[in-house]
Amino acid sequence: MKSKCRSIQEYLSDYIDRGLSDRQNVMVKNHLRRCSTCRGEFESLRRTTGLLNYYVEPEPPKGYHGRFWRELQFTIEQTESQPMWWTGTALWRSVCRTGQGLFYPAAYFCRSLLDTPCQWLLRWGRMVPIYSFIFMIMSGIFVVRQFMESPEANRRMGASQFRSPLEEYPIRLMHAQENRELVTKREKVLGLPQGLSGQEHHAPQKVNHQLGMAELPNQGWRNYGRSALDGTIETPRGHTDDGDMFPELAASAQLAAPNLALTTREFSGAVAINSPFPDKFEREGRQSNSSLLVLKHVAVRDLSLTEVYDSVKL
Amino acid sequence: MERTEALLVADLLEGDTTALASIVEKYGKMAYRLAVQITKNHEDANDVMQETFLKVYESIDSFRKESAFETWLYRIIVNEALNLVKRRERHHESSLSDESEIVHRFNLQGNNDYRESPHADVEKKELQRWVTQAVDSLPTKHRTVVILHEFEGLTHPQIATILNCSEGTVRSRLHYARRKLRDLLRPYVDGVNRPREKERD
Repeated sequence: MKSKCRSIQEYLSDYIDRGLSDRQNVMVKNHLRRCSTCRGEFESLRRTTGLLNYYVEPEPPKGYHGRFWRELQFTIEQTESQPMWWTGTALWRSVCRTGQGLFYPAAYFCRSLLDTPCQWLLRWGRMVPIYSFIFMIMSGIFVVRQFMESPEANRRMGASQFRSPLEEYPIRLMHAQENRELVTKREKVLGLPQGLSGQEHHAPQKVNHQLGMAELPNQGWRNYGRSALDGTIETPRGHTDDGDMFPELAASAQLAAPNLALTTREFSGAVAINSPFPDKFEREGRQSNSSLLVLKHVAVRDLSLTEVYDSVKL
Repeated sequence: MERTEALLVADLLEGDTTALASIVEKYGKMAYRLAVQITKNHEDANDVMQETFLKVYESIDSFRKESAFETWLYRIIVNEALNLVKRRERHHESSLSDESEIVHRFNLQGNNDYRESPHADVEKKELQRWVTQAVDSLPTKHRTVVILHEFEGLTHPQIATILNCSEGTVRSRLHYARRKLRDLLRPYVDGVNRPREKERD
């Protein structure tokens, strides 16, 4: 096929539709007069277009329009009975529909299986408020849990509700210091900063802060009783655990260490001051026994168990 | 008294559902016809109709009076129908049998022409079936252009506006569709089974 014929044949469809410019029209017309191949092509396309008269156009079934209008009316009524937040501008409706899409991935997934009910569901979104409510509740739970797990929240909660003996102890110590001389004496002997007695082991974070020290390894309960015993007291094997478990005992023992040359009276006062659980000495047999064992092993001079017990009761 | 198009649009803007009823009455047949021709089955066409007229009702405020209302309506119908076809193709869903739709059309049409002889009637029906099947077998985008141009009588610029493409694309699709149809209807085009009726000039 000549290139001229090829370009002319590209115009044939428009030539049939009379959609060419005058110049193009004359060019095609002249070419068709001369070229039998292109004339054949034109004729076949023209006949094809003519045959389209035989195309049977679809007709709606009988009574279709009435049914359709009733359906449409129902749909519109449903749309207009939607809550205020659902209706509104086209933008807002599209936002709602996007939200619907996010809330209903399952519905979209099932759409092919349950076409009609899902379409109804997706179209009217009657469940949107319920799903939104569930979503909001779950979001709330998530946020609260996140907050609860944060160190800041723990600190607040610990301070307000779950005050541990660890935190309570120095406060008690500060408030109950009837015998300040005892404390000062101990601080001098041990070379501790004045006025912070007992806190360096029992509340390392707070003490660190006050002493301006780098953070000590804080293992909480377990370490400070142990560290209280280290160095100053000869702790019998197997009883460090008691110190761990009952740090107030370890602390008391520290205060009652022989190198402080405390009297019985001083020692009992120290126990009373230092113990965050003074009532437990009385109530719980096991703890009392353990406490007494520890006290026994710190070799406090001139101290009988009865005296200690009586002192603690004070 | 029949309301004008502009009046219908104005009433619809005020939320008057009777205006919508008039629009459905006026354009419903065309909408259905177009929807069936593109989707090739009644159920999908019904969905397209619902979506179309609901959109007309809800989005009439977005109708700019630069183009004719009819063109805007055509655009909505065609887009809804093409989206539905695309969705079906994406999900590999088979639509209802095309053949049954065509049979349905022929049944609806019935035998109304008493002047023709039974032989001519059979011949004509045969030709109608061929042509209808040939058009329906075209790819969707080519079929849409043929429908809009040949059956709805729209011009190339109008089709380009509706399909949101260039006029050149419309021309090219139409040309391709005609050549494809010519191949499909070859026996009739070559005159082997030439119908007796006068073809369109």
